[in-house]
Amino acid sequence: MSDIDEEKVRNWGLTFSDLISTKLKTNINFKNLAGEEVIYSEFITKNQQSKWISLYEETENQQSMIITIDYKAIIACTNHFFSTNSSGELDHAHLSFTEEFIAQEVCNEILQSFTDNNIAAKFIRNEPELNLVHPFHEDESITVYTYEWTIGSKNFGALNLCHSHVL
Amino acid sequence: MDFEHPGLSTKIIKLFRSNHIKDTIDTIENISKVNIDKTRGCLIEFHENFMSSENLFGGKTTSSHIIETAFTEKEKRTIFNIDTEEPFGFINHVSIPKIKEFLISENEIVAAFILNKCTEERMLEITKTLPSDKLRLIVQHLISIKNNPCETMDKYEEIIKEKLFIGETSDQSKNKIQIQKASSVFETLPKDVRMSIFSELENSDPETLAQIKSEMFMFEDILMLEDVDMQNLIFEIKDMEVLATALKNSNSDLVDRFKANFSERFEMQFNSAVESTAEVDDEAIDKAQYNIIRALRELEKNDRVTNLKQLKRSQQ
Repeated sequence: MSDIDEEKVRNWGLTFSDLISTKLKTNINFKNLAGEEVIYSEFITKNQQSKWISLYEETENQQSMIITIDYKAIIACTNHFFSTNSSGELDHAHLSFTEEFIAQEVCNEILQSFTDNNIAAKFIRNEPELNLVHPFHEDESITVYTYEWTIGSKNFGALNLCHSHVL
Repeated sequence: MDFEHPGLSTKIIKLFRSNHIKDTIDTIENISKVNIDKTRGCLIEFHENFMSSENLFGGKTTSSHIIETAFTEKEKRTIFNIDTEEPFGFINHVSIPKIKEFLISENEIVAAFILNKCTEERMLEITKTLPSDKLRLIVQHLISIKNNPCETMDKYEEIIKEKLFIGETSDQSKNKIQIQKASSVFETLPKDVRMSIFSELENSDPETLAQIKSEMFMFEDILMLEDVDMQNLIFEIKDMEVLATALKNSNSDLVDRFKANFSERFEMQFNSAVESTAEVDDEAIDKAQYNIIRALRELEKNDRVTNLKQLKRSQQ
């Protein structure tokens, strides 16, 4: 059975937001955690907007896990890191050099957050698009935990953690 | 250290800040006593193997390599008390076209941050080159830039320095590099193969074809060489029959440029070779021209003539 349950994800999210807030000197919060079971193809259809993907393997059961972060969240983090007035454009189809740097820096804390919460995982790779990773079969049932990504009190897209429904 | 190089430790200590001097003296005081007979052999071996200036490792002396790998840039600056610029001060030394390309591809807040790190004079110089719509977006963020000193910012400074001084990673730059590589390959192809590819490109992608042609150094481009480079080339060719064959059907300007740079001996050999080239066909001419371009490239590789692509670009 799954080692990752809602409680663990809740704790992981808290650790992750704490680590990246410190790292980027920005008040990043994850709010309104919601979990659902979906078929992976449905997840792809529902998540057409640009996302940064970080792929992991849950080491105990050797099952894939992905973390997806909306570009909007990455761009907002970049803007808040460099400016006190972060009202820049958020809808880019591609990340700039600096935005990719921030995305990598954010993802560098994902694994640490797993470790801190006793979730045994191995980092595989980061990709700038969802269609560049194939962690699950399209007809596979997966569990998706979704957080709203907020900075200050403003919403900047979503963070998803997806893993096989049965680990 | 004093045993090996008397006085060296004093010089190093002078470069340290007070806390480093204190730490060093504390360490010396507390270090366990080891007999000099035991340390001498080790020191001499270490010095001979790693620290003598003749030893090179990865293109650097080993002493430089040890310092490079043991300390980060920031540590080197702090420990050795090297005067340094303000954070991101290096941006003032990056070429304008490179910084312009970077700012255009960046989000406007980051672009404002980078611009904000320039001197006023430099900022004006850069803003003049930026497209007005991009500039308008950037300028509105100039007053809200956050100075955010932290480890992540230090890391960002390091990678951006590497990108702006070394990296050519934009799609435009990558395409340019691909075209430069392709043009070098086209130079070496037989004329008929090259012309067949060019005729296809003429229809499908005339813009790329023009870019490739502008990068290629062809036999006719020898006209652009300085006299001293022409003389080096003639000396390298040596066989005047090859040159006479290559120049058959060439325009008179090119023939005259060669003639103007002949020694008496080469002139005599060339004149007699011209008589024997009456029967040569296009294939032989193409082959001779190809051999001369190869010889010229060899000279270029050994820095015995001007860089050919730079020469060509300067004439365009």
